[in-house]
Amino acid sequence: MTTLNSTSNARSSDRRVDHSALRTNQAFIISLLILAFVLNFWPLVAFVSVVMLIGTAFPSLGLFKAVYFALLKPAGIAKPDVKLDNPEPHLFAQGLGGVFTLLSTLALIAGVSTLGWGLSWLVVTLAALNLFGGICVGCIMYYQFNRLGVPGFTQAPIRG
Amino acid sequence: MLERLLIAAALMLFGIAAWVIFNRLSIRRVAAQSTADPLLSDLRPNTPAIIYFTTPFCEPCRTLQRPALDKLQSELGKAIQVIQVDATQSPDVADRWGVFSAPTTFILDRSHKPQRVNRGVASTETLKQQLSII
Repeated sequence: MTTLNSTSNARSSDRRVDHSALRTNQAFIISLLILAFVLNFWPLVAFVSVVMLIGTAFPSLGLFKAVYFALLKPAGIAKPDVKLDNPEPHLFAQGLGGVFTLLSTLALIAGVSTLGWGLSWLVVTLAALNLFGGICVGCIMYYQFNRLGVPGFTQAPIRG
Repeated sequence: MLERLLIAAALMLFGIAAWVIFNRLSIRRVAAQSTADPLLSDLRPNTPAIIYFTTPFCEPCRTLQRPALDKLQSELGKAIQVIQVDATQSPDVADRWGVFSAPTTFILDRSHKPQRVNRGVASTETLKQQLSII
């Protein structure tokens, strides 16, 4: 039987995360940011930033995940990979990426292109580390904040 | 645009190459000192092994890596041995093995020489494939 070590009263049914949706999200972020760099087109960075931030604030409105749930999954292109997991650390990681891409957009608009594209490549690197290496830096940060008792970081790792 | 495409390709290749070189160098460094490592003293001889580094706060360790290792052990039985190391309990061991994130798994051959390292979750299939070629 699985028990939860969490300060919230989250039910185990709420603790399910489809990792295929997360991977789709990361693949979109990586692809679009690289495309933005190649095309030297900052509005695409802004678009990714908006999608990431909206997807963090309102998870059901996450566009890239919606593509997975509405198209890729029904078509059988991507198979579901549902795990017992906390969604909050992944949302935090996405929000962090969204803030970096927002800063990247602002830097590009301000004409500081080295900083702007550097921040975009940082997001690409972190997303690639998660997608290909399974290392979610944002999640590690979230659990460290939880461990330190930082307000808002309420979910501890699920005890199996 | 072609110039930027080439820069993007070069950056991606650089990232991949840096990752591969880093892992190879860390394997080489660990292999050079592993023969005298007390962590390996209890291993059964002539049996491949996996050194699995985890932490109590590692979410994917609990939900993904541990089940993958359990499945591997149930399939291969005594043909494989797994040593689990809590990096928070044994930070010196984690340092010695160059571990900076959890989960990290090292694949050791029959002579207990490290051959591969997986930083992040490694599936049962990946581990099986790595064990088959050592």
